[in-house]
Amino acid sequence: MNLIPISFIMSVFLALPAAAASPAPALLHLDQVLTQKIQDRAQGRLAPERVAEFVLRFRSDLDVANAEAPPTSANADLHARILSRLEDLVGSANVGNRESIRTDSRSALSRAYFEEKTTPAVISEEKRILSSEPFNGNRDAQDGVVVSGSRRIRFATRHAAANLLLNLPIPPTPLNDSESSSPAGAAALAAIGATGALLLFAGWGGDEIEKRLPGVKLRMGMAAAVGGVIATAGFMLMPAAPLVAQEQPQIASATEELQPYVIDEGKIVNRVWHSQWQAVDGASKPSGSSFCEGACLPIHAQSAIERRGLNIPGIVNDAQHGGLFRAVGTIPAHLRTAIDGIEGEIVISARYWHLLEFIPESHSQLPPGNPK
Amino acid sequence: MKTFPIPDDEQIHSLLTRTFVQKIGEYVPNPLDTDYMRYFSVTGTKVAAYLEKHPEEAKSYFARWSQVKTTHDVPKIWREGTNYRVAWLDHGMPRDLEDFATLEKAVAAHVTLEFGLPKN
Repeated sequence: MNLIPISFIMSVFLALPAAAASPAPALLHLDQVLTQKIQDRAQGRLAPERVAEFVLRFRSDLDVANAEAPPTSANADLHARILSRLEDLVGSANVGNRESIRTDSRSALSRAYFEEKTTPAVISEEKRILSSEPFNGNRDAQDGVVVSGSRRIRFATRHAAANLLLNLPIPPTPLNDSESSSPAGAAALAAIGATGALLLFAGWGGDEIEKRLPGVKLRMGMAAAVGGVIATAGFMLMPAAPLVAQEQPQIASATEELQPYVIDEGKIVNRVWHSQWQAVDGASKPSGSSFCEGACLPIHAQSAIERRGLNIPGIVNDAQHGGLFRAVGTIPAHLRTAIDGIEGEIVISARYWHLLEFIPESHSQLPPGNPK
Repeated sequence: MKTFPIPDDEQIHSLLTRTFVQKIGEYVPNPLDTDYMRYFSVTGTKVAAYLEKHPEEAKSYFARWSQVKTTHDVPKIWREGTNYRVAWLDHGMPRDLEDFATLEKAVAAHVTLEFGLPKN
């Protein structure tokens, strides 16, 4: 009688979960291709002008591979990792030296984080880079920089940067029916984008790219046209959405204008609140999410109301009390120009309020000022 | 004048009923001028435990605070389906949104936001 060894059976069973968790072969292949190209670029074997050509083809292949891959977390993670590294490669071509690859790698990931496109894969990749050799403790002062668009945020230590990454803000969702305006907004953006892409490509360099990459103009034109059709359909199918947005413009602004901001440990912010907050339901209180930068309070309440946009419906705040708060840790926050105001407003999520320490002696009563 | 600390249950009851100024007034002569949170040591967890023992206070709190119409710089509590929700409102936009299966836990979260209490 032929017996199958138990060890063989066990090894088959043990291998099954691993196989199920493995990323799709096509994605793995592309990951390897990208690794090779990054190495080529770092060693000067891939000219910057050839990177764009490679990236264009690679993105197309990646889209196909990703579309055909089963929707597993392993595939999603690898896809995100590939995209991040692809951004690194593009960045290295723009800067044009090997040193920039390491810097841009971190920057691209950080941009993803700050643009709130964070995925578990991006977070893990960011952590991997933060803990990697090039980002060691000796280089903190030099390299502890996170880039957000045109902003460069410098951290005192690697620990501070890592700590920030552990406290990633979560994008909010609208409470009321204002979300119905989002598809129309997306459709408008798509329409503008499609039109812009056509005009841009046709008028500013499209012919030149077409010479180098035959057929790309047709493909881009088709993509833009499809985008335009979708956008037009969006407008036709959602006529009520802009009306909702017009009724509550401040809600849209509250979401769109937020920019990432970091309050370093030791920094001081200030806040004003309603004088009768203890007695009035729904009034602004000493605790809250809206702050302004600096260790000084407005000269009077009227100034605070005008500059901080406190004189609009839905706010009960006469701004006749104020105080200072000290950051006792690095606080991830957001910055915007105060809605219906002119001053920079720092928005801090409630989960970080414990990192703010009220300075009791700063508690002040503000004079009313000169009402108009 | 009484001597600090204020007992936990009295702290929580005074926060729930918005009588904390009067409560502090039992301990200091000028309660409105004080940094009120200096005298409050309770946490969100303690408030939740208190409300489990006093569900009627959770109900009356919800009846009052779910009616607040302010849309900015305040916490909001409301019922959605069988759950309760608590969020911080920023120009009508809910932030730090949390779902709760019980009224007591939701009210505890609202009080925690309202007064900036530590959660644990």
